[in-house]
Amino acid sequence: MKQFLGVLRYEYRMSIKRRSILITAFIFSAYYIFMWMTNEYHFDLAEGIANPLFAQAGQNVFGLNLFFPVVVGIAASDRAIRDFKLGTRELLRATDLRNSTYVLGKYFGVVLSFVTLEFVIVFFVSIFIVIKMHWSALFILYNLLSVLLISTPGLCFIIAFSLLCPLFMPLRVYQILFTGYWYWGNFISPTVMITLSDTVLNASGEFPMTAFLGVMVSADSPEVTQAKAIANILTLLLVAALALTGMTAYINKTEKRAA
Amino acid sequence: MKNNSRPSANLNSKYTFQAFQKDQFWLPAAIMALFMIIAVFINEANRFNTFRAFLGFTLPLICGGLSAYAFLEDTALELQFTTSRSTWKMIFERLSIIALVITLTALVFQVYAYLIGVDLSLLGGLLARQLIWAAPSLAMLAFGASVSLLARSSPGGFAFVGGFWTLQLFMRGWFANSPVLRNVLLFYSAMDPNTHAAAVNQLSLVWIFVLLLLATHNLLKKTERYI
Repeated sequence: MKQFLGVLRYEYRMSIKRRSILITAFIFSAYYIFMWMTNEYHFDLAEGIANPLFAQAGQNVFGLNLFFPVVVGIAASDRAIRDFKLGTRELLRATDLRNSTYVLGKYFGVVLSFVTLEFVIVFFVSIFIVIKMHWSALFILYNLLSVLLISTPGLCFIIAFSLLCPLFMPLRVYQILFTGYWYWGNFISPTVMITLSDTVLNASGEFPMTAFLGVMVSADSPEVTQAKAIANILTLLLVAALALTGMTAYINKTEKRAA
Repeated sequence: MKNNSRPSANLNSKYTFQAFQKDQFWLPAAIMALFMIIAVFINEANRFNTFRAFLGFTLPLICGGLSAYAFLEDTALELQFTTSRSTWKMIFERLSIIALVITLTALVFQVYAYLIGVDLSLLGGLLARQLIWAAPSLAMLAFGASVSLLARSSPGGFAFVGGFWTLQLFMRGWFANSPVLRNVLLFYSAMDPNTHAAAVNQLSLVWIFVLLLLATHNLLKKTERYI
């Protein structure tokens, strides 16, 4: 546990201090606020929803979630491979740190760093909106809860693959494929081409937003039951766990071969 | 006198070809192959859109992604900086190979469209059609290179390029509706081909390419930033 927390703490600090990523995230967020204020990102609300303010917060976070995971997926993709490139991995191998502890510590360090970043962005965005629109301060709390409900499962899913895939494919190949995947796999209509967007592997957060908050991306969006939204979240977390297991197995195998 | 001068290096595309990032050759081809397969299996109504999506939307992303990694991932970068080769030559070596691969990919894809009977004339005549992918790809080529040099990090640079591409993709309608902002929309000429506005958009993207190329040159000259 001590080793796990040590890796997590170290990775968290390394990941959150990257100036270029922070600047990129904040520039796009500022742009998003501008768009939100000019009424470009308002979706349809289902009839008779219980909490309209929570629904507004949900669509606020979902709007940010259209592009924020792209920055996260790209930024997270060099977190594991850089240890191999810089020789840090060899140094760690000389210690009694287990590979599974290393993978878990790294994963949760990266996830927490980006969730923190999103919390900070959403916090400031929601304060701005509360002041501008004279809404209740509860809106800020609803926004932070929406991050946990809408964004976090998707971030857990994409970060697991962003750590795993660059171990066996060139980094920029993964990053380009990932950028294309984000749009294809989550937002293209299944009537246009084969896509993951209507399956439980959709990582955009649309399912929980529609099922729990009553916000629909478009008027013809399919109805999503709460059971399907829960299945969506659980599937994303399960697949992320499988990816991390695969990553541990891959590192074990390559190190055994090297020895 | 001769011994004190820095070693010279001629235009050395062979070095870039042989020692540096093979994926810049196979990645565009692999993604093209994927689109070729999709084009066969997709329904008739969306087949043209598949070709338009690859040429007008996907190629600029690949171009930006490859160029973001064109300079800083070179393990012999410091050695390169010690030679007397001009900055323009280095930029030309790295970016021209990417541009060449993208051009070949686009041309092969259009030949494939012809072979399977997809009519691309909606995108304009043979030459006008080339501007639909060439103008945004050039802009992204210089954008990827300059942003990664500005960030002093290839992943950081590509995070910005990828975020920018995604943002434009989601908000293409909003950009396209603005008479000013549509000139910086990468996908405008693919969305609204054969119009005066598309020609203005292409011209402005080429100007953006030139300006960003100058920025890349200025950034790359400051060699101490990357050591």
